Amino acid sequence: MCRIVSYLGTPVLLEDLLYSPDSALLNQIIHAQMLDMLNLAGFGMAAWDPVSHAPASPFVYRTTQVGVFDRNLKLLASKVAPHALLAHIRGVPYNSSVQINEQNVHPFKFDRVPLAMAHNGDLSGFRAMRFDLVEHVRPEFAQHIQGSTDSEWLYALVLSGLDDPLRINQPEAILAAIRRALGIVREVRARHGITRSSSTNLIFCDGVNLIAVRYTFDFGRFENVRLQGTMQFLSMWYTFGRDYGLHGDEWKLVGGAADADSIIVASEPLTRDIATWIEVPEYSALVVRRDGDRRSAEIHALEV
Amino acid sequence: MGEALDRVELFAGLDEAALADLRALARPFEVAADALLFRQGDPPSGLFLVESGLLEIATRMPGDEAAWVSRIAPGEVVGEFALLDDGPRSATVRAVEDTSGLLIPARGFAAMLGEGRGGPVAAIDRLRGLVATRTRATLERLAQTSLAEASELRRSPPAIDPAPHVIDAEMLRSLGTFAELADVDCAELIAAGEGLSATRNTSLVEAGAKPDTLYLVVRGAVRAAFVRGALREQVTIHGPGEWAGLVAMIDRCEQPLALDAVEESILLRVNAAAFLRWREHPGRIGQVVLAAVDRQLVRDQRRANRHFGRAIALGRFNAAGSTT
Repeated sequence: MCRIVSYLGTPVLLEDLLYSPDSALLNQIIHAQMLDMLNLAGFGMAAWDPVSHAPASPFVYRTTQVGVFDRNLKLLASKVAPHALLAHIRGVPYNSSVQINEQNVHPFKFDRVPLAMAHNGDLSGFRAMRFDLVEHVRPEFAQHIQGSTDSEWLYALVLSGLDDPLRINQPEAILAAIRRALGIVREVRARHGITRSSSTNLIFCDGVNLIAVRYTFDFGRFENVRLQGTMQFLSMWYTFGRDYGLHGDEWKLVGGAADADSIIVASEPLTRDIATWIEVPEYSALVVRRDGDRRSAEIHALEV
Repeated sequence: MGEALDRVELFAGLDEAALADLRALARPFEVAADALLFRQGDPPSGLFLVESGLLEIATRMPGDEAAWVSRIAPGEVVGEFALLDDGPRSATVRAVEDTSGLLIPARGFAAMLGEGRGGPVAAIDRLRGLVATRTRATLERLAQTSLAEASELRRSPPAIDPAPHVIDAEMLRSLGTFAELADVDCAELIAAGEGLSATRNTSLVEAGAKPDTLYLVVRGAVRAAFVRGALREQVTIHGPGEWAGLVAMIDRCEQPLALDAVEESILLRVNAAAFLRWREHPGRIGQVVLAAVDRQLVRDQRRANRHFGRAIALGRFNAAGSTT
């Protein structure tokens, strides 16, 4: 299990999303409030900075270092102010079978493809399933897969459902590709008789659109007794407003929904006070899109 | 002290022994005009009974706006979640005028309830009714306003009767709530209903059905949803360990929402008579069941409020959000 934060809106200092709030992403490495584990297996981000060279391409940073000890990241975070961000800390089971390497650090973003993706969750029985997924992944993407995670395969599956993955796609096209990918996974799970709860909470961002998916196959069918009834780590949250920052003694977006131009979507709120955060519903996608000179957000049912 | 108790509508008709239990727990409180009684997110101290003055409840939503506001007058109560659940305060309460009354502390109340004393047993059942009524009111408001976008609606599944399924003690204990139950207690709980296996994407209960059905989700997921013509508007998903159909089972009115199995699900359908017995005479099993029920009543109301808040906030965002 992992933690994700994403942002779309007025440029904001990375530090304010990654470090400053009391439950900022980097603080969740040790003290996530909705996940009872440490997230030690790497940090990664794609950050679209409007004043950087080639602003449509994100600045990408990945490390297997535990983020809280990463001095370079801390210094970068005090300088870069992106208008779009997808950042992720990786949490894995505490055993030696897990591969900790840079290729497995999220977000995934293949060369020349604008869309990046980060994943919270895991596909049960993935090692058996992946051979059945190959036929649904375009060869040019299959050969890009360098890591060993289910997440990278999910990413390649979604890209393979886009007519033109090398350009910025409309949210409808991305949603259709997501539905196709989830449908394939459901079918392959059925073929392999996999019925264990498997979560595909995914956030996609291309610097223009942001799509957050909250979807779990066989919701609640755990074999691990300890996990029964503890689904909070599979939730997804968002908040919007303008002027994100420290207001009074609280990190928040203010200004009211009607004047909002910025949105944060995350696997858990960035503050202990969750009063201004709302959950993305289960089996749904939150779509944030550019709508002329405005930005709009919708919930879409995911029936796969 | 304690006269405020007699004037609280919620406790009207409780017998003298029950009121005496509550009087023994109650402490006076006072809050000056414009001061906060408690803030959203604060740990829960207890239930406030207002004797004089006026309070105002506000919740916040994205953009740091107040979502809605309501007022609490003398004879009314506020902070009722505190006696049902140990979660943080869900709203901020401010005094409009100098206000005073009685506080029933959550910790003392829980201790007395654990002893099975008549006052707390009767009082908490009134609180269940109050929370169920408020949740139903929110749902009815939502049902009329229809704030959901078309993209959010889902197909209505066909009604297919679930098949009988054997539920054993291990399956119940795998749900955190029942982890400590002995075999004999699990057997009693299982005997209070029937084990069922429901197929994915099938309707279990239609909205408007009689309040005779309550499901404990043992595996899988049950969706609670509004009926929008031939479609559904999802309000919440009940996963393992949760109860589906609770509001109607508490207030004995029709089911406000349709219930659908959205994954292969194993369910314990609890019969209404057994549930009513637990409410009146909790006993060992009843106490465990009702503790879980109380937490969920609070959760269900929060979910209904969030669903409402989400729809309002998204509507405002889309009406006027502008890009940079």
